[in-house]
Amino acid sequence: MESIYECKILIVDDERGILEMTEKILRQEGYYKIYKAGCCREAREAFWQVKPDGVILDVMLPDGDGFQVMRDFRMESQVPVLFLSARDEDENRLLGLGLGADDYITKPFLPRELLLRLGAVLKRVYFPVMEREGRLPVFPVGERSVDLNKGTVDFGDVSLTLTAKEYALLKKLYENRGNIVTIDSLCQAAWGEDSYGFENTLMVHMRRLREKVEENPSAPAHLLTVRGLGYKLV
Amino acid sequence: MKSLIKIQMRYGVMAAGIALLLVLLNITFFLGYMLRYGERGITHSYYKMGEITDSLAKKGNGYYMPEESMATVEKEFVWAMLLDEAGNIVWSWELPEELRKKYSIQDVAVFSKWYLKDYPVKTYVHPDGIAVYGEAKGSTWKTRLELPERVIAYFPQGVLGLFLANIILALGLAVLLGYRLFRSLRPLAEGIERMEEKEPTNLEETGPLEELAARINRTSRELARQHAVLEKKDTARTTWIAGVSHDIRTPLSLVLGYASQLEESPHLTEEEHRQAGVIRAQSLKIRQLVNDLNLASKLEYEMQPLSVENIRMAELLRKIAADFMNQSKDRELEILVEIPEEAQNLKVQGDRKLLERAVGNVIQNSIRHNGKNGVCRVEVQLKDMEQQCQIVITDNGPGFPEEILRRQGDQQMEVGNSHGLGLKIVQQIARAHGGEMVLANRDQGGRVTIEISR
Repeated sequence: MESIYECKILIVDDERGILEMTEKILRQEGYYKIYKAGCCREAREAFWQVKPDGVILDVMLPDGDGFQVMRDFRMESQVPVLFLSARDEDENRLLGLGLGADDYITKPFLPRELLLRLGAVLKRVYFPVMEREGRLPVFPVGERSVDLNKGTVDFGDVSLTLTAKEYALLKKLYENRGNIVTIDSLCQAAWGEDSYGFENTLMVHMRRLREKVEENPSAPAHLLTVRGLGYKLV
Repeated sequence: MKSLIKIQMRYGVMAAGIALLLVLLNITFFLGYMLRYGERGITHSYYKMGEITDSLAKKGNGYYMPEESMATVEKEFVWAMLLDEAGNIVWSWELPEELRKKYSIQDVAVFSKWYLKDYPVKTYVHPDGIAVYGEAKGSTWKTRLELPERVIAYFPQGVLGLFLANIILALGLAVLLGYRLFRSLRPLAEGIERMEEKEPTNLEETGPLEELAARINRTSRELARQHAVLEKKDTARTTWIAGVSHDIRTPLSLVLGYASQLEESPHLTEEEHRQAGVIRAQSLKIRQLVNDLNLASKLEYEMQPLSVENIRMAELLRKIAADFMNQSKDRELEILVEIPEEAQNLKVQGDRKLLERAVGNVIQNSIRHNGKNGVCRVEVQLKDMEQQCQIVITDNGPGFPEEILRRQGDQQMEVGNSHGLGLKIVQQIARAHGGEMVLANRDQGGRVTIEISR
């Protein structure tokens, strides 16, 4: 398998319209091995024949519920399953059952949302190595360049090394570039769960980080403070 | 139960009061009687008898009684005589035949204490002998009263003691009887209390209050039945709304899906893209509405199970604010989160998703109603009160219409109003967390306070 688009996707829904639309959405995105089922029985048959790489599963089916179908699948394989449901209660049930579903979408959904989540699930399951093997990003911050592989900030001949905490914080900010990252998320990224009480320490680390990535640390242009909330990398 | 004790107290006091009243009444009656009827025989006549006897004077060979004394004697007695020291009759008046004789010392000793031939008599010492006055047969009851000296000495204390003993006994009896009444009423009171708490009552239908107990049992059964019917109705309504929202979601998926596809389609014109965009945006609104309706109906009938966890409010508020600001980059939105140092680690037992929803709804509301004011400024404050935590959200929008402010205390907030459903859900979530939502207007903009009990 070269990419996620080669994955065999099984869509299970009793609503013909939804089946058709979902198929179209997937095809447009580039998936081309698509199989459909309208009920639990068909889903099980298709599962044995096709051995899908990913399943989009409706919860309410005419001859049973999707949770049971997933239990059956799980006996045989760890195929990623994305639940599609039209009821709020299903979410609670899903969490309560602890089936280990990979994701969950409520109807009605935006096609973009479905594609993003399916893509994320498939990538996580089938291409996790690629990211680890592949090089981590090198990105510019203003005139300077951050290399996450080496953990350095480079400009001209100078190369500044990031500390472990600075690295964790900068990585988190980079992953959410353009968005505000709350103090709490940053603390969690650097110090782990239950990181209450690190707010002041965070400020110190951010100041040091600015000294490394900003031209003029007292008037930051890239590592911005959002008062009361957190920080933002632009 | 308290009321029952009160009744019991009152009952005791009243019974004691009645006993006291009766004792007093009896004493008054007795004294009155003695004064009214005892006066003549006891005091008056002895005093008069002295006078009369003294006036009986020797005249020649015999004795003579003056007119004045004679009148009194005639009024009070039926006969009279004077005996000399030897027991001979020296003077008499209207003396019956049978009494005309010589009297010995024994005779005198007997009749002075008792009767003389059934005539009650009174005696009085005369310088020459003894005067004897007879009353009509059967008119006076005579007895001898002999009491030990001690009894008379302690008489006042004795009376007082008796009086006190009476009161104590009366009070004791009242309390005892009251307690018995209390005991027989207690199960009934408990039954009514249980009824209040919508628990079934099953009282023993025996004893003097049998009928009352039976009625309470019947009423309780009837209440339980009505409660069950109501609950069934509520469940039916919630299930129905859940069903309808489910049925709407499937077709809406298709509308939303295809509209989005069209919006991205390269074959359409700019205008057509815009139109598809409108369909998508409106479908999202319907989605929101359906979700709100469903949640509101579940919260209304307390069907929404709260998945309670320990939530650090400061963190949650910052996350919500950041999410909003990250999502609305193209819009002029400023959310300022102000959390004082002491509230930074404030934790609340609550449903994370619901609380996020409540705060989110308020901010959403501010954004929606702030359209024309340029920058939408929302301030979120967290306040640590003793028993609760307060989330105060203010904005610079147009504020709330008077109508909504006036009606915010109502159980049923108007659905359909553009402020309605979103804020109703906020209110319901606050209530589900043992708190309340309070709306107010400031000089510039509105203020929503969400209180959550800690």
